[in-house]
Amino acid sequence: MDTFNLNQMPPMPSQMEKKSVGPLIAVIVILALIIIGGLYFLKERSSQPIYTPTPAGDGITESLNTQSTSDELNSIEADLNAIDLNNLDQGAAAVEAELQ
Amino acid sequence: MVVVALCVLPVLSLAETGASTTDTEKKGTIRDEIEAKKEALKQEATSKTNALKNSVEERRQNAVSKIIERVNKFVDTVTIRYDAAISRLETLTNRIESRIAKMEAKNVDVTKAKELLTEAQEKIDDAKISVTSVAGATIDTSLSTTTTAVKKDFEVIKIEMENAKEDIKAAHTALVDVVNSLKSGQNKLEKMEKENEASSTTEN
Repeated sequence: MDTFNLNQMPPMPSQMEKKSVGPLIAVIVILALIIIGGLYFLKERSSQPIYTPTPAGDGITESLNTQSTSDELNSIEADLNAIDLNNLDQGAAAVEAELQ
Repeated sequence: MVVVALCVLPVLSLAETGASTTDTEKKGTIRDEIEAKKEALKQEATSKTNALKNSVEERRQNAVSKIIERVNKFVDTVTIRYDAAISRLETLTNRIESRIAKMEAKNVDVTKAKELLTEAQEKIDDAKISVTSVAGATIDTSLSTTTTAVKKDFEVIKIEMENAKEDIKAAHTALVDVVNSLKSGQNKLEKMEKENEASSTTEN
């Protein structure tokens, strides 16, 4: 006749519930941490100033604004020759291409 | 029999008439319902088409506005460059005037240079007027509503830009002519100064 062993008894229902609830709580905690982390990240990001690139100065205009003040003929001639008037409307081709 | 027939037949015929009337009414109701549904669907389709049309039109208008913005920005940039070029030419004019005055003080004949400088100044003034017309040539978003219209406007602006550039070039060439006309007088002056220096050294 088989003897009845207490150790071989299936676990009590309350123990099973405890085991199944444990991982669930862990998952909830992890998810909560992820959500809190995400919210914190978004908050930090939104508080940072938005980088807006400042428009670069026009090189052509800058070069035109730079010249000597001397009234020596050589200096005047050099400044006259340094002007490149052909590139004053540089960029027209790009605008035209955009219009096509 | 005959009496029974006479009693029953009118009732039967009346019943048939009643049934056919109900059928016609039902058919009419169904037809009306179908018509109403058709009308509703038609209206829905029309409103959807209109909404789509509006959305397409809005997008097209936005694209045109962006192009106009780009063109106007370019016009501004070119105007600033032209103004800078004219400003440079004016500064050069002042420097040349200063040089002419110094040469004149040393009895160098600068008549031709003065004439050429006056011409150059007139050309600079012409260039200034041309640049003003470029500056005012921006495209109005309310007037140009299509890409084709913007293209046409830009063609006109380009011509004005080209004219202004040519006027600036002419003013620049005129100043180069002034400087060239001063060169012989300057060379003579330098030669005289060297000779004077040499004679003073010999005397000492």
